[in-house]
Amino acid sequence: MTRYLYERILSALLTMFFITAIIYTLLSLIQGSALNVLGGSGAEMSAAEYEAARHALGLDLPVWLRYVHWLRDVLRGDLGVSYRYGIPVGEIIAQRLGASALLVGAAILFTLLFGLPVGVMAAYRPGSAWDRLSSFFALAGFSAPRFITCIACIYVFSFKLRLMPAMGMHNVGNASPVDLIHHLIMPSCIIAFGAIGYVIKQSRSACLDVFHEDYLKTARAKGLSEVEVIFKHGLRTALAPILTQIMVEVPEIVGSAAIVEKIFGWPGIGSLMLDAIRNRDMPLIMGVTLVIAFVVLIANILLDLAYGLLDPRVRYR
Amino acid sequence: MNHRGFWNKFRQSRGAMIGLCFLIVEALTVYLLPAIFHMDPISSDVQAGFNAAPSAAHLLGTDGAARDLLARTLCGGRVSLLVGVAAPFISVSIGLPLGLAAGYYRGVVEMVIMRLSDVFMSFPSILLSLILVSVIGPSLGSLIAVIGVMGWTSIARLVYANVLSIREKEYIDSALSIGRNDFEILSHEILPGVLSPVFVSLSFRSGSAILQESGLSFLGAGISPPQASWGGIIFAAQDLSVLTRMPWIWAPSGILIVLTVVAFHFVGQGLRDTLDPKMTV
Amino acid sequence: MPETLLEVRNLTVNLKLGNRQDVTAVDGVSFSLNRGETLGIVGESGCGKTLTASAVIGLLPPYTGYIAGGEILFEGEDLTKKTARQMRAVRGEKISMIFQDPMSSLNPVYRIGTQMREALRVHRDVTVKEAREISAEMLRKVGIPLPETRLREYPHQLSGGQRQRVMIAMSLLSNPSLLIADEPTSSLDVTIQAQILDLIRTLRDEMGMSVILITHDMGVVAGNADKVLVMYAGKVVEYGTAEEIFTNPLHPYTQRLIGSIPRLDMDVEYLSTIEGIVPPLGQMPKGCRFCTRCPLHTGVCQEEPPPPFRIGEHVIFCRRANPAFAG
Repeated sequence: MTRYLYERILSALLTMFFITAIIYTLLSLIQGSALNVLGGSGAEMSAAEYEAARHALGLDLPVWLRYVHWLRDVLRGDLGVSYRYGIPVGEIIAQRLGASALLVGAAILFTLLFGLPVGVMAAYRPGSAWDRLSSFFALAGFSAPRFITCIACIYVFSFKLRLMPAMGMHNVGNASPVDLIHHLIMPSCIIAFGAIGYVIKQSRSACLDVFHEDYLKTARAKGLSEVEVIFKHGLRTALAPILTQIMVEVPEIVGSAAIVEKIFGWPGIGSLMLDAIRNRDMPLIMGVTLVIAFVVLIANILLDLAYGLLDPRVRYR
Repeated sequence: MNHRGFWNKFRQSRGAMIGLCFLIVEALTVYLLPAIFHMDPISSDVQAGFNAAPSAAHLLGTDGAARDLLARTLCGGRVSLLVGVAAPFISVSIGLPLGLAAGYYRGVVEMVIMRLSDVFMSFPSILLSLILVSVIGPSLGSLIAVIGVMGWTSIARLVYANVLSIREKEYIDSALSIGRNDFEILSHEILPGVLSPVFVSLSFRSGSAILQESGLSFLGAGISPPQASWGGIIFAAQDLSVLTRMPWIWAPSGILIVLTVVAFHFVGQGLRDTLDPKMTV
Repeated sequence: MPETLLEVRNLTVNLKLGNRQDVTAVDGVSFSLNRGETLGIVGESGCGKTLTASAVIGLLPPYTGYIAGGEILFEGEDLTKKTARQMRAVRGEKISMIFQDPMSSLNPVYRIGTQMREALRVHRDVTVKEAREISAEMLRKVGIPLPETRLREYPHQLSGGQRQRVMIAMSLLSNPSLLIADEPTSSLDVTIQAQILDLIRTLRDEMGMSVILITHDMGVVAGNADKVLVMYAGKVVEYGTAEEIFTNPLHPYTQRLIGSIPRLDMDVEYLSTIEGIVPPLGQMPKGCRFCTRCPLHTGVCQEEPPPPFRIGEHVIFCRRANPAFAG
C-alpha cells in the first residue's frame, strides 16, 4: 500500500509537470500579444523599448529555459507578478482560492448528496418510474450547458421569483454566514446539476452489480431492514468503484465552476483564470494552472486512499 | 447484421427516431431557410432598433447591433451542427490509432499514450480549449480543430479498453500462430471489433462537441463576430439587463442547444441498443 | 411423536415478468418438517426449490416474487399472514439461511466480526465485547481455529470452506429452530463438501434445530436427510421419507436422479442421464410436466396432470406409480 501510494504521488507530480509544461509552451506562442497587453492600449513602444521589455521579462530566452526558470521560481515559492495587476500572482490566488474552494466543495457535496441516493434507488428497481425519472434528470444535466442553466436560473429565481441573489458572494455590507449560504446555493446547485447525471449513472450501474450479490440476501436473512440492506450493504460496497468513477469528473466540475463563477461574479480562481486567459496574463494563467492541477491531483490521491479504506481487498494487496 | 436488419431494429427505438427526425429537420431548416428567404444575419436594421422585441419584421427580434435574430439563430445552427459533425471525426482520427497502438503493443507505447491521456483528462477541458483557441486564433476551423483534438482521450480510452478485451480472445493467438503480421491482425481481427463502439460514441461525441462549442463561443472565444453562433448569441446575456429583460435574445438559442444535444444523445442510445445494449461507451 | 415445526400447504409462488402475465414458478407445494429433522429438496436448477425455501423465510426476490396462495405454518403461525416487519423479526432469529457461494454471501468490505455482530444486534441487545465473545464461541463450535483472529479478518482472507463455516456460525448465532441451506456445498471441493455436510448434521443434533437442505445432487441428500421432496418444473413429483425415496423411488424422474449418483460400490460403465431440458415457465405442458422427457409417458399424461398417489406418507405424482393404472 505504501509503495503504491508513492507511485501515485510520483505519477501525480509527473502529470503536473506535463500539464504546466504543455500550457507554458502553448502560452509562449502568444507571448507577443502579452507584451502588448503590458505595454498598455495605444501606447507606442519603440523597437529598443520593446526589446528592453522583452529582455526584462526574459522573453528573449528559449521556451524550455524560461520554463525551467519558472519551475525553479515556483519551487522557491515565487509564482511571479501578474502582467495585468502588477501584484504577485500568489497574493491574487490566495485572496480568491477560498471562494472557489467553498463553491466547488458545496457543489461536490450536493452532487454526492443527491446523486448517490437517486442512483441507488434507480438501481433498486430498474425500469421503474423512479429509474426513468432519474435518467431523464441525468440527461437534462448532461445536455444543458452550464451557462444556459445559469442564465435560466438567474432569470427565473432571481428576476422573476426574486428568491435568490444573482450576483456575488455577499450583499454589500452584509458578511453573515446566512447571506453567504443564500448566495452560494444557486451557483453550487447549478454546478452540481451538471455533474449529477454522471454520478447517478455511475452509482446506478455499480449498485446494479452489487444488488445481485448474495451478501445482500445474507443481510436480509439476518433480519436487517430494507434501508439497512440497501445502504449499509449495497451502497457501502459499491462506494469504492463509484468514487473512482467520480474522480474522472473533478476536472470538469472545476471547469464548469469557472463559467459559473464568471456569470455569478463569484470572486474565485475560475473566473480569475478566464480573465487571465483573455488578458494573456501569462504568470497568472500559469499560477492558476498550477493550483488547479495541484488540487485535482490531491483529490486523486485522497480518493486512492479512500478506495483503500473502503475496500479491504485493495488494502491487503 | 446487414443494413436492412440494422435499420429495422433501429426504427423500433422511439427516442432515437425522434432524435434523428429532429436533427434532419433542424439541418434542413438552418441550411435551406436562410437561403430561400434571403435572410441576412450580418447587416443591421437600425430602423427596427437595437435589442428590439419580436415583431412581424423580425420574428425573434433583433440583437444589440440591430441584426435579425431569426437569421442569426438559423445561421448559428449551421455552426453548431458543423462542429458537432466534424469535430468527432478529428477525435476519432487521433484517438483510434493511438488507442489501437496502446492496446495492441502494450509496454512503453501503452504507458506513453495512456499517461498522456491522463494528463489531458486531469485538467478542465474548457480551460485548455480556451488557451488553445487563443494560440491559434478564433475561427470556425480552429474551433473544430481544438474541440476535435480535445476529444481524442475519450475515443482512445474506449478503443484501448476494447482492444484489450479482444486481445484476450483466442483468435488473435491463432492469427499470430499462422504468421500474420501486426498490420494484418490489427486491420482484420481487431479493428472490426472496435469500430462499432466508436461508431456509437460518434453520436455522443457530437453532442458534447456542440456543448463545448457553445461554451467557447459564450466565453467570447468562438467564431469571430459578426458571424453568428448560438453560444455567441447568448454571450449578450452576460449583460444583466439583457438577461433579465430580453429573454427573446437568449432563450431560442439556449433551447436549441439543449434540444440538439438531447437529440444526438437519443440517437446514440438507439445505435447502442441496436448494436449491443451492453456496450459501454 | 415428534413435534411438527413447519408445515407448508399448497404453496404457490408467482413471478412478475415486466409487462407480461405473471408466471407460476412454484405450484401447490406441500410438505412438513419435524423438529430436529432434515428435509432435502431436490431438483434441477430452475425447478422452484430455492423459491420454495425463499418463500418460507420471506426472501422472495423483491418486487418480482410473491406468494399467490397456500399456507406456511411455522410453530403454529401462518407466515404468509405476517407483515414485512413481522417477518424481519422471524428472519435470522427463528429461521436462518445460508447460500451456495460463500465467496459472495459474506460482504467483502466488512470484517467477519462486524458481520457477526450485526447479525446478533438485529435481534438482541449486546455490547461489542459480548458480541465478540459469543461470535468467537460460535466460530469455535463450527471448527474454525483461532476464532479471535478470524473475527478481525475480512472474508477474502479466508478459504472457501472456512467462509462457509463462518456463514453457518453467523446463521446459528441466535439459535434458530430452522436452518435453510441453499446448495451449501455446490461451490466447494469434494472433500470440503463432506466436512460441511457433517458439520451441519452435527450442529443440527447438538442444537436441536431442523434443516432444509436444498440441492440438485441426490448424493448430498443421501445420508443427510430424513425426508425428501423432489421437485420438477415448479411442482412436487415425489415426497416421502429418505428411506422410501431411496429404496423405492416410484416417479421416473426420481429414479433417474438416483441413477445419476456416482457410486463406488457398483461397477457401472456410465451414469444414467436425463435427456432433454425443463420446459420454460409459461410454456408448461397441459398434463404432467415431466411428460416431455419421460420415457414412460402415455397419451393421458399429456392431457391431464397426474393425481397424487399415496402410500402412507409417501406421495407420488405419477400414474405409473399406481399399480391400478393401465397405461
